[in-house]
Amino acid sequence: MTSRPLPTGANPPPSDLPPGARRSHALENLSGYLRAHQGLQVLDFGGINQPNLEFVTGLGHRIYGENLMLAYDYFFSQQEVASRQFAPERIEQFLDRTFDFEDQSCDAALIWDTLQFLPPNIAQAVLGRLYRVLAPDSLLMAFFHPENSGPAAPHVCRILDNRNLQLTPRPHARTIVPFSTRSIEKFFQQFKSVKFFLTRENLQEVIARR
Amino acid sequence: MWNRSKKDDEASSRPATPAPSSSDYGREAIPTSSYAARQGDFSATRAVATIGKSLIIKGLIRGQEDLVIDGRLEGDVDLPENRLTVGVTGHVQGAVRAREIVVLGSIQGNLEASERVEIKKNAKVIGDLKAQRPVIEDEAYFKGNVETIRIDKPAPKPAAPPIVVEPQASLLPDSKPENRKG
Repeated sequence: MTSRPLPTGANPPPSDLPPGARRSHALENLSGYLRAHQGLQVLDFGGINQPNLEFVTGLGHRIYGENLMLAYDYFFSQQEVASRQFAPERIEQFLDRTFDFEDQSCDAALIWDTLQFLPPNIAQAVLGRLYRVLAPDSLLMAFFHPENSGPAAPHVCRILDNRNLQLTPRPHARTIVPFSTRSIEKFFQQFKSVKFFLTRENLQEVIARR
Repeated sequence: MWNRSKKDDEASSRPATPAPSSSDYGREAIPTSSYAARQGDFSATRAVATIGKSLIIKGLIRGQEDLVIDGRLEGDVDLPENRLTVGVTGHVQGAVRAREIVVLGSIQGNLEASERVEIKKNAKVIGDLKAQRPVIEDEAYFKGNVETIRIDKPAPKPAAPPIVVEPQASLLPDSKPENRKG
C-alpha cells in the first residue's frame, strides 16, 4: 500500500474529462510501456506540470522536468535567436547544460510539440542528444502539428489518464517549423522504429523507439 | 543535478533589499527571532523564525522550529520536523531538508521533505525534489528530478489466535484437594 493511490488503468467516463481533453493513441502506447516496467527515469521537456508528475510518479517512476523552450530562451542571446545562427560549440554547450545525463541512462522522453518550435539545427541536435541519453528500447513521444496550419505557440500537455491528454496553447507565439510525414521519418531515422498516430485534428503523434 | 542558467543569474542579481510594504514592517522588526505564527492567538501557535528581506546569511541552518526565509541564504537548511517557507523575496542556494517545504521565491539546490513540497506559481526551483507529496503549480519554474517517497503502511498483523485459558485443576473453585486416606 502507498500513500497515493496508483493509477488503476481505468479511464474516467468522458463526462469527467475537462474541456480540451482528447484521446491519444501515442499516450496509450507509452502508458503500456510505463506500466510494464518499474523504476524508470522519465524526462518531460514540456515544463513539468502536476498531472504529469502524478501520473509518472504514481506508476513508481522518477520524472525529470525541464521546459525546453525556456532553456533555449535563457541560453541563447537575442542576437543568436534573431539571426538563427548558432555556432556549433554554443549548441554543444546548450546540450551539455540542458541534458545533464549519463549516456543511455534514461528510459522515456516526453518532448511533446517543442521540437517544432526550435530552429531546425537546434531541434536536430536536441534529438541527437536525446538519442544518446536514452537507453536502448526506450521510448520518445513527440507531437507535430499539421504542416501549414500549426498553432503559433507550443502547448501545455497534461496527462489525464492512460489514454487522455489535455492540450492547451501557451500564451506566447513562436515560429513553427513545418514537418511533413516524410521529414519526420527522416528526422527520427537513427531510431529503431517510429510509429505514427494521426489524430482528428491532424496532429501527428510519434512514438520512436531507441 | 542542476546548473546555473541565465535566469538564475538574473534572479541572483535582483536587489537584495526591495522596498518593504507597510504590512511587512511588523515582521521586519524582528528579523531573526521567533514569533507567533498567528499573532493574537498564542494558544494555537507554533514558533516561526524569520529571515528578513534585507538579510544575507551564509552557512547551515539547523533547528526545530518553522522558518520563513524572505532574505537570502547561501547554505543548507535542515529542519527535519518543521516547515520551511521561502517567501516571494526569498532565495536559497543550498540543499533543504524539512518536513514541509513551501516555495514562493527561488531555491537552487536539492529539496527533500518527509511530507510535502509545494512549489507555488511564479516560484523557481532548480534541483532535485524528493517528497511524499510534491506539488508544482502551473507557471512555476522547475528543473530537476522528482521522486516521491512512498510511505508503506504497516501490514495488518495477522489475527491473533484466540487465547485459550485452560483452567488448572488447582484453581477451580470446586476443586478441593483430595484427602486420601492412606
